[in-house]
Amino acid sequence: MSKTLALMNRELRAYFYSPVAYVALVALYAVLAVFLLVPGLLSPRGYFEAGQPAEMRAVFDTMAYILVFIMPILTMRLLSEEMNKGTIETLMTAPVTDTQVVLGKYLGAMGFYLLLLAPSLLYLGLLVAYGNPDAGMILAGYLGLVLIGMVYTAVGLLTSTCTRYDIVSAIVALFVLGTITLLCTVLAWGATALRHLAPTADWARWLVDRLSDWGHRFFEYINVAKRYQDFSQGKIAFDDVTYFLVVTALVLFITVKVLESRKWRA
Amino acid sequence: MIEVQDLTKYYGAFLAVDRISFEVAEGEVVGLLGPNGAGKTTAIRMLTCFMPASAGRATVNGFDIFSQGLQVRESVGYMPENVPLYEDMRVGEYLTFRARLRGLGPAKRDTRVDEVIQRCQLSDRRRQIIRTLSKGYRQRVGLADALLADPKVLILDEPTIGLDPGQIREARKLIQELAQRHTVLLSSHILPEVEQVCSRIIMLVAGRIVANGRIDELKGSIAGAGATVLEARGSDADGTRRALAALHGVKKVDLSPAGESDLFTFAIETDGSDVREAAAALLARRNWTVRDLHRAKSTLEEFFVQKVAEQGLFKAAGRR
Ligand SMILES: Nc1ncnc2c1ncn2[C@@H]1O[C@H](COP(=O)(O)OP(=O)(O)OP(=O)(O)O)[C@@H](O)[C@H]1O
Ligand SMILES: [Mg+2]
Repeated sequence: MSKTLALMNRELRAYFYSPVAYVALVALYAVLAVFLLVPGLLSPRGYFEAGQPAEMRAVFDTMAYILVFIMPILTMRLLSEEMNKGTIETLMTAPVTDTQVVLGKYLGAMGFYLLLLAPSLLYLGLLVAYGNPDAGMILAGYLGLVLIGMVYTAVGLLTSTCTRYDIVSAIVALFVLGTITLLCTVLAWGATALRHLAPTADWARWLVDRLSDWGHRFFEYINVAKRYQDFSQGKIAFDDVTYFLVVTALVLFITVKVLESRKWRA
Repeated sequence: MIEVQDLTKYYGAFLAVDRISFEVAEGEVVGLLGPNGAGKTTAIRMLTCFMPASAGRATVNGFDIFSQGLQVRESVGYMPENVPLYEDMRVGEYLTFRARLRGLGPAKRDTRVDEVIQRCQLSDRRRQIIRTLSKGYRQRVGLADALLADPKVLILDEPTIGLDPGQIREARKLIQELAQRHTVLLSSHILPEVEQVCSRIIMLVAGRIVANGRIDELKGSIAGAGATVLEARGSDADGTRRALAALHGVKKVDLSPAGESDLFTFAIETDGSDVREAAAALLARRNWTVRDLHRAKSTLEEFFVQKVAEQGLFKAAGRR
């Protein structure tokens, strides 16, 4: 446990040694500001509508998509850099287990992710000052952000464990995260659209209906962003929480196995 | 302390370490020698559980490198070849982190870090960022790290490359001190140093052990060891040569001119007995003036070069 914490601590500090962290921070909030403020400024009614409960739903929804691009950059060096610089040799010849290494790295990255979310509390402060936010919805939204961050970080750590080139790790992670969010949304929509083919033969219509139904349900099921939307709408479903936790645990488990495989590969 | 049996490593189809077997007893300081690419680092990486062996067995401090990797790593202080370090950390911060990884408790951690910093003369660099350290100082940080947990076994891969002469001397002293409480296996290309600190050497060529023994024994084993060299001035060189050859204990004498007209060099090969006094007396009787008379000491370097050359010949012969 203490070894895991030591690893976490180092990883967290490592973020502040490099400019990547600051760049990510600035990028996240700059993009967020553009997405949130521009529509608000353009709208004649101003940003907060009088009489409506103030909410952060736009913040939460936008974040989940921006993070698809930011998390791979924050996780790419976790293990790739160790392999590239050779420090993996001192790391793995210290008396630590592969699980401790993976967990330490993971917690370090998660720690930084949570710090990254902190400035959004400023926005929350604005809401409280000028509006009348719904506490439940905001809590659910933050819980959703933390859970989706857990999955993103685990995926990024996994790709970083697979290659010594951090750029490759980032690109693969971006691809995977893009698939489980944006692409799944598109595919689920596409599956529904299948129905419009409306073939004449009965059996064909049955098949297309089934395919469309299953396809839609499948892509909705694995769509992380879709599940996340429940949270941003203020719903905390046991089912969704479990889903995020199970996916995270599974990805971390695979990561440990990949790290172990270094021992019988080679 | 270290027992190795038929340890083998293939990189793909390339055989890097070929069934090596050796032992290192507690308290020994053993040098691992061999030309570049001989497989020293590979062998060391298997012993420190960084890489799996392809075949064979080995134990370190009684623990099996395959099934008890964690215990092996707990008993070993390892300094890798190029001393990979986290560039952005400060020296003290890095060592504290490593102490935590080695499982030292909070109380012990600080005193140990202070101790190794003192020992490796890093006190004035404690707050320096590792990226800005010179090579020699990086080397010291690596050594300090290896010493942190006061391990039973120290495995050092070329610990003194990049050190200045003063530091090499310091490192040598340090290793000799360590030898009193630790078992040390080190690889090195700096032969005089190996000669001073190691009680025994193991020499690898092309992944195979070609020599394993005490340094003086090995040096004695090479051809031409202990020849007596005589440089003298006089006339009738060939007669003198024959007279020398007739001395008791002399096997063979080679004569060669030494540059000046009546100056000659005699290389006297003996059966091991010391013929220097008899030779000097003989030359005096024949009215020769002696300029130089000594027994050539064979060096570890000669041994090394000869062993490598021998292997080259074997290989060439094998290929035909
Ligand atoms: N990861 C690897 N993949 C393939 N071949 C390798 C790998 N590592 C080392 N080798 C090869 O194995 C052989 C032994 O290498 P090793 O590093 O053990 O040599 P060494 O004795 O330490 O040499 P040096 O004195 O130069 O440090 C070399 O021919 C090297 O090219
Ligand atoms: Mg080497």
